[in-house]
Amino acid sequence: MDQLPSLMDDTPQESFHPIPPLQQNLSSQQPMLMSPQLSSQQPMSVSPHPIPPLQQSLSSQQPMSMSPQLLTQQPMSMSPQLQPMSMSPQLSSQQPMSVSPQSQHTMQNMSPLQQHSVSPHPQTPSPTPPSMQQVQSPYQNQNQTQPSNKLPDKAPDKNTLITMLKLLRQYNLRGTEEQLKKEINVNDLGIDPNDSDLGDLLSAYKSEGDPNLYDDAYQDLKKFIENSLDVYKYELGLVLYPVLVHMYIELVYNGHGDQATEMLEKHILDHEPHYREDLTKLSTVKKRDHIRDNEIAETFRSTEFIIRMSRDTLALLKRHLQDKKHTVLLNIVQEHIYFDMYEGGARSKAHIGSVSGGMIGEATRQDNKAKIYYGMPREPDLQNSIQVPDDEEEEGGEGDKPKKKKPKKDSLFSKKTKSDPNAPPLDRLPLPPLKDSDKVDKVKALREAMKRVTLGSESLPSIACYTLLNAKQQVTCAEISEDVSILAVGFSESYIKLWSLVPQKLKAMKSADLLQDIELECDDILHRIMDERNAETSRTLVGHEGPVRKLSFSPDKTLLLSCSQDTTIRLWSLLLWRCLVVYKGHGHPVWDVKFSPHGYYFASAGHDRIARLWATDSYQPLRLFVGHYSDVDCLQFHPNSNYVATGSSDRTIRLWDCVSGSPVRLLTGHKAPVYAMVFSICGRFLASSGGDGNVHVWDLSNGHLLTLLTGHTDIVRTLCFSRDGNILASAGQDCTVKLWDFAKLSDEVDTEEVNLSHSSDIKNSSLAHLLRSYRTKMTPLLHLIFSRRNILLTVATHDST
Amino acid sequence: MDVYGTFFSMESMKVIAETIGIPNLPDEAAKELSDNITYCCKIIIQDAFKCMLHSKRVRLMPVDIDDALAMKNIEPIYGLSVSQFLPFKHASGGGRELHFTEEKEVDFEELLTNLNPKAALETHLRTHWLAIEGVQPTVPENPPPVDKSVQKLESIDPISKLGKKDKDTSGKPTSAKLEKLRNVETVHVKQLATHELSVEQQLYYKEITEACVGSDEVVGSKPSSPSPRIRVPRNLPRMCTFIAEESNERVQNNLRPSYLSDRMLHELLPSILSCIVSKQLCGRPEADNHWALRDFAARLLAQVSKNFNTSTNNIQTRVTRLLSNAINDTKINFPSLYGATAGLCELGPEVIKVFLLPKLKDIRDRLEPCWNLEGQSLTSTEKLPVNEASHIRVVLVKALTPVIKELKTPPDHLDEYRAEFGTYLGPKLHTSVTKSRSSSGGQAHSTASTSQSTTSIVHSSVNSRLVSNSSVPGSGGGLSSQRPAILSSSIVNQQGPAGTNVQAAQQQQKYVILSSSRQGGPVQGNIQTGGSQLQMGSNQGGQIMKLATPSAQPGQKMIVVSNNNASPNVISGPPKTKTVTFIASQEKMEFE
Repeated sequence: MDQLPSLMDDTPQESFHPIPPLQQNLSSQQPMLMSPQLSSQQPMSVSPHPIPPLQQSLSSQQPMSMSPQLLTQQPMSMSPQLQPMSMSPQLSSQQPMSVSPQSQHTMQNMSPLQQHSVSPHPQTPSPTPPSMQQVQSPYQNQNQTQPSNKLPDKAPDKNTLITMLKLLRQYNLRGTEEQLKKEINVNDLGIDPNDSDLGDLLSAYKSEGDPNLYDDAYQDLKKFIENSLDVYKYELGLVLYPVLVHMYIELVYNGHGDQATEMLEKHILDHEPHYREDLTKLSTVKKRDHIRDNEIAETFRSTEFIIRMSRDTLALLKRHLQDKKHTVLLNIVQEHIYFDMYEGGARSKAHIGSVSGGMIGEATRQDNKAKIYYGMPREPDLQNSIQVPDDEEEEGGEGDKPKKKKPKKDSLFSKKTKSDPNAPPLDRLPLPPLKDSDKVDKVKALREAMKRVTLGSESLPSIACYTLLNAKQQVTCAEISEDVSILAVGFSESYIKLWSLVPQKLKAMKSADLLQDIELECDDILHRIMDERNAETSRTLVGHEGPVRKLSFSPDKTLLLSCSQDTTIRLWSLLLWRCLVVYKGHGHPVWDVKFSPHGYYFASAGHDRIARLWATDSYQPLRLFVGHYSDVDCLQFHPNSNYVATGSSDRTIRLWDCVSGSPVRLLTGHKAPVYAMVFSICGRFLASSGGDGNVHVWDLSNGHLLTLLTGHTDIVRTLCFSRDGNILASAGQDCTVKLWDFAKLSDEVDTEEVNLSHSSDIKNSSLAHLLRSYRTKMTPLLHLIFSRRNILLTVATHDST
Repeated sequence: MDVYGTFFSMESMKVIAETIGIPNLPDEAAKELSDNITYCCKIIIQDAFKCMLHSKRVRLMPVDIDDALAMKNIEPIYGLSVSQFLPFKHASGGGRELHFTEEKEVDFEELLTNLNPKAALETHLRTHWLAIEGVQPTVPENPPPVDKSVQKLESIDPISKLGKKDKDTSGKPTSAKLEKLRNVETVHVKQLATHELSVEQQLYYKEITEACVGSDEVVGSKPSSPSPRIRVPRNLPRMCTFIAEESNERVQNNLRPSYLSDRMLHELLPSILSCIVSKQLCGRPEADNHWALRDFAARLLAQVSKNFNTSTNNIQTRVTRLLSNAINDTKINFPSLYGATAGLCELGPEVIKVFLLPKLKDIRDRLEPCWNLEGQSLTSTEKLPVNEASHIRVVLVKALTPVIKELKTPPDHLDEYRAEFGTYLGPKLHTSVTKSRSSSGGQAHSTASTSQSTTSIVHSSVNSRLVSNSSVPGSGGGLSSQRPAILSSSIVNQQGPAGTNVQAAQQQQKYVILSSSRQGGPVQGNIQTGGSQLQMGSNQGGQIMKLATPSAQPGQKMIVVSNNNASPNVISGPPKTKTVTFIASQEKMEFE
């Protein structure tokens, strides 16, 4: 195993440093988006005795700290009062250690992690276990609603410390607690041992009001909205939903659960179906204690609901509220609703409908103001390396290519000399240098690209369908490598199976003693290290302890990432067919993992509502992207690797800057969880879809929704752009592949004037853009990919009985 | 709207408390518990849903609940994995309903001996083309180009397809270009309901055509399917037989008779009829044996009309009328006459009696001249009609023998025959009848009784009567514009009195066919509605009369009386309409 790095990398990597941790610039950055290093290293910088690493605490058999899940859930339920029947993690933490599968898991996997301590920061003395960093999860900071600079710079530090101390106390780590207190020269930060976090956070809801007043107030508001002018009606209508939610929470908090349910049932039909869904979830809350665990209630109590309103509409609303003197209503509107006011006329119903849908309302204008480099950087010059692949090819038996092709190639490479004004500077995100093998592959890809068919409405692609027979409802995900040579399939039975889709079989590397015999200087070393005898058409990777949720190939096809329900991410070598690293950190199931298009970095997202950016050689995440209010279900790297888009069950999409760690776009308008996203080839557009089957196309330059492509009748699981960017393919649970004319769509965008304040009217242009739709024989589709020659490959599952 | 949904009742809490040894749980405690447990279960199910969705499933399974519990760091419930989706069985009785999980008895012996239970099949990969350059190939892995339900709808109502034509984005095997081309070609074609055939079907068709036609007579424009609009070229009679044979094969193999749906039948019948009555069926009529083809086609026609005669299409009636029209034509040439005669003869003795016998005189007159020529040495051109006439004689003799045997009393006199049937036909007939009488009296029916068992028809197109309009008070305004006429009516029961046996009762059918929209006259009716459905009383009782209104042929209405069908369905239009059209066009097409 030790020889692996040298074998896989042709070029030494000393010159390359990944993006640095964020502590230098973080003090001035938003408090919400602290990198893990912040939380771990700030205490460290003041303490000679840092928090013991996980290993240590495990060996000391502290029952409280045995499971990463426990740790993450701890902040959620900081209340020392144990609710007898509530599902607080404390309850389970009292169980003996052996029963928690996660804890065993942690123990077992510690060894590989230790083996591969290839941290890029050797100066970091003893890193805090990743799970500890989650103290910085949104649950703590949720009383600070916006990731804006509302709080003074000092505040996060204090809050962090308080939280740390509380946590330490809860875990019974008295020694460390004392030390920390000494270090920061504060004996009492105002922590009342009997203080309940929940009580603090919810005290805003305390009200002596008569429960019947709520319904009256709501009805009055509704009446006012219905009677107002049509121009304002729809914008005003946005207020109703947050008001209802907060009234419900307030009623429940004050012990009027039955009245609250009654009121909800009475008014739920006023609201859009997606909000109805959330209200139904909220309706499970019937007691004060429940508020803490409920996703909706928790989100609403900690966040302001965002509504964009024109100045006139807002004035109208305020006047009404002041006239009527419904204190209940006034309180809610003042405390829990954030109005993003804009000049100009109120928006139309269609427009409001197109951007509403997010769990906490719409994006403010500020959210999408930041400039992003959505362009594609110039491809690194491959001229110099051409000689290398050519030589290799001739020696490797591929010398049948005529020499005449050379001038053609040159023209191909010189084509892209014009640089994109929107492209990020090349040194913005440190990328790993290209290895020789990468260059060979790139040249191959370019050659293939020359043969590819240009698609369009007149020349539609061929679609090859790989059907997984006998799937027995166990196939959870499928992924095809970029060069369409390997298909990887994840199963709910925790294993991963790979098939070779090309005549070349899946070869493994020779054993160590055989490798010693190979001359290191020979040119075809990459061929020689492979063992031809044990080549197989399919291989199985076993290691996870829960259903595999997503897979991702590295761009050079030597590595595979998998994430699983068992909260871990594993990195597999496709040369050794073994697990190399186990990345831990998400204390919750990981829903998605994705390699960066340039390799080395990868991102993951999961049930803990946090997306993480990792580097393969570090077992700690480089960045945490915190901001979603529900599970992060999917993520996608921008083709220039500088940004990560995350789609969530809170029905929003966020775009994060990998370099600064800050959110740069917030896209609202989805009416259902987002399960699939893809960036356009040019990098400017993002297509996304999800639970309701509608494909949304966004313009990232301004964050506007371009169009809505409707047609799918069920969940869309996968989206893909053709290599020339002309066609968008979508497929999913409804057993249909649909092809959309994206060339036409982007042409329309270019000719249109862009309204800067908010997007122009959204056209539902599904019929105009739908090229063709292909049904399979009742086999749901899992994955789509266009090959380098623009053949569409799709993976379907068939559940034979 | 009930938002909160289901919950655990307080009673359940108390019962559960009792089972774990806590009697008399206070109400408050039970309430508290039920609230909390309901809440916990809902939270877990919400999380289980997330697991389900990320497992790419749409059905919640026990394993999702386990995963959700693990997410909450709660010990999963072990031993509850089930293979079925719903393991609960339901039982009720004595006013109580019970859901339980069934526990199967395990045979211990079997468990011991059966060492390795069967392993589950491994997941494996299969590849196929979902589309090739935008066109979805019709391979077994792909769904049929048109959905089954849509196909069904189209077969009933082809107009529905026309409406959808303008924006068809489903992956049917036509590229954009082709579609344009076809639209240009078929702008004014009435029927656009094409049916794509799968590769297997096309191969099957090709095989059959090649087997039948042979390599020398490959049709220039390859037909695209067996059912559709092949206008059979006149010089390719074998093409007709191929179709006929194909259908015949199916008929004889007793494949579902409905396989040859009405739609196909109307395309088939013209070709069969062409084979029977066409003027010229082959290049060298004097040498080639087209008589055999005519005979065969006639037999086939009889079989088809026997098997596919339904209350809606009335094939037998139409066919009979058509053939008798041919015979009535005094200028018809001999081959056609032969065919028409053969066709009628095949339809049974009743038909012969009613249609052939009255016309025998005309036929005799036409054949008579040949008698003089018979036996003389002739040129080839002169020989032909003689030859043809002799064929007609053969078929007439063969068919008429049993009929005449019944009609005439035993002493058969040659002169009598000669006077009645002419010098050409008479002697032959006479010898045949006498021979038949002498051999056996009972076998007389054998030759021409094919169609007797199911239906038999008294057809009287000549006798059709006009009925006055005023006799039907209830008929709707739209129907009154045309004069009604009864074309045929038959009340014939071959199988004995109605009701004596069920078989017979099911088979007997009666037809009243009106060529116009009015009805009345001899049938004493009571029309309840002016629209589509009317009931009539008759002496046999319980008969239901249905009025079908074919949409495309406003001139024709069919009223069907049947004994066996009690449900007064109104038969929908298009298939029959086709049949109607066919007869109408056939009359023009085939007899010139």
